Amino acid sequence: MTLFRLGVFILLAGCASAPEPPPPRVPLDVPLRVSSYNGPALNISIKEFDPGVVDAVLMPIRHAEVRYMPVVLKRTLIEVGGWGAVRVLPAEDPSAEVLVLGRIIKSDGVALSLNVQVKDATGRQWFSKTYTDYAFEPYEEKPGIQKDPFDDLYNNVVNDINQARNSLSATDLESVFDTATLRYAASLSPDAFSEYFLKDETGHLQLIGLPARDDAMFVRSERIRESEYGFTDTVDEAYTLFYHEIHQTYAHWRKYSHELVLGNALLGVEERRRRSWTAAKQSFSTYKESRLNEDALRKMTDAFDAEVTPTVTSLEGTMIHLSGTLQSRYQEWRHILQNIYTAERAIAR
Amino acid sequence: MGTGRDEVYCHGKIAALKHSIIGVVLGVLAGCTSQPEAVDAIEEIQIVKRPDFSGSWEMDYRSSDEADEKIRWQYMEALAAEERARQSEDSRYRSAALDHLRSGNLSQGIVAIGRFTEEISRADVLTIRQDPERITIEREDDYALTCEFSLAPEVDGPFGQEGCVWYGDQLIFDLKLPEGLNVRHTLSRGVDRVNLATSVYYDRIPFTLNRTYTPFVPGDEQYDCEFKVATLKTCTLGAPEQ
Repeated sequence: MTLFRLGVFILLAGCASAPEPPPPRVPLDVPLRVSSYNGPALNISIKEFDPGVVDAVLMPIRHAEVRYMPVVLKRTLIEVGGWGAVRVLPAEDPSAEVLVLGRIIKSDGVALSLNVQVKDATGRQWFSKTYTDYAFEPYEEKPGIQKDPFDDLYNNVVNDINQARNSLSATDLESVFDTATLRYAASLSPDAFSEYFLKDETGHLQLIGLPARDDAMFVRSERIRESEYGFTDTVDEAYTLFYHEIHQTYAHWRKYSHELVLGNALLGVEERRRRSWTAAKQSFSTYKESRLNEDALRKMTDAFDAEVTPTVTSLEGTMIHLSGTLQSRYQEWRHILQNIYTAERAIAR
Repeated sequence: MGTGRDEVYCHGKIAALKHSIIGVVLGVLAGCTSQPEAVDAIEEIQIVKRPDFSGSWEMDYRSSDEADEKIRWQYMEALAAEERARQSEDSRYRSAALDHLRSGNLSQGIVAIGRFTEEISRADVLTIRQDPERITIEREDDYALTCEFSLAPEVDGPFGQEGCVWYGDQLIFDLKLPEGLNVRHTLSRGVDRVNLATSVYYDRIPFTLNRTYTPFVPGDEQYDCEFKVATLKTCTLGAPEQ
């Protein structure tokens, strides 16, 4: 911890007037540990985060954050390597080998607190943990150019995900692959593939058999799954595009929020009341800048939600038009795939 | 133009009784003493039909307050009140209100706060979108005023207290920053016009500017920009779709 961080920490600790001292607010200092893992690369799906409970005034920001933060986590996972495709999706992915669910508990530019739950295709929960990091140092003059002020938090999450994966045996990993494949097949045709699963007393799925590799229905489901990957890559790209679009604006909003929140904490309300007219105008100016960035974020998030430009995608030579929100297009696509599978199966019979 | 804010701000009381300046100022400041640094809370008043503010509005300068004139007028009144307060210095009549006047804070403060009020109420154009759940007032070169009608009228945000509430057929937006700076925007509807009154209150000094807006159809030469995920920001010439 730098001397500055320590100083601010002591100052904030001194401001506390509650009977019981609050838990120490220590910024994380966690480097990203490069993994020596050389096993099979699992695919990870990160579902759009849950906004949690948030003040009404911060709701527009939170709507942006639930799409932004999964992409930061994705970028950290890609940076450390050892994973297959890492995708951000609007809904739970039935074919996910590893699924990451996140909930935002607090985010105001000074503190970021996330609950992260990670589970694999067998239903085994790797962990569910709350991470909190603080950014007491002033933001860069032009925020967002260099690093995320909370990258230690994301490093911590990714280190834990890697550690959980590394603790799995080769048999466990193979079971994750096979279960994910069969879960996807079962989502298309429950009657044909559900017989290969057994749910144990802990709720985990256990494979009790596998279809033949050249089983026509299984081969067909694999082919459909490949098509789905193509579409989910498109969906994931939309999240990445959104991340790049709001990156600068969000960084500025966080910088102004940081100034206001930390200013309040350091000075206290009574002390601020005694300050000058110039200080009051400065505070309003910071508020205004924060609100202007919030307006821009709201517009971009609304555009993401209400994007009506149809997606035209190719499925085995057939052009498919999808419209509506990203979420509805995702659902529509899955429905189309299911129909194709059902139709093909009927013809095969 | 009566907007209802007169009942709220001490400034309104001054305006109502300007024929007896010293009495008014004393009364006002005495009144302010009981609410030293906060704008009075407004209780929501329900009416059967809320006015619809939707549309594009441009400032009508002839009907709006002229900032320089209003500042000058209030400054002169404050100087006169301060002078009278000094002349009537009598230990039997000591009060925080009189001390405030004798210090000359009022006249100096009115100029500073008046200029600030002018600065934050300059928007030439308002674009208002309203539905039964919410209203968004986009102000040119300024942040948008937004209100979700179903939410609590005032919430503690990270930056201070913010809120919005219906007061009869007026919609009031309040912001109270921890430094004691309070900003209130009061939106009211007339025939073919809307009024946006911006009131600033700091250190027991109030100042209000009324801006009147009339409807207009955005012209062909106006840039219309929208954000799209696929294309980022796209700007086209022409009026936005209504």
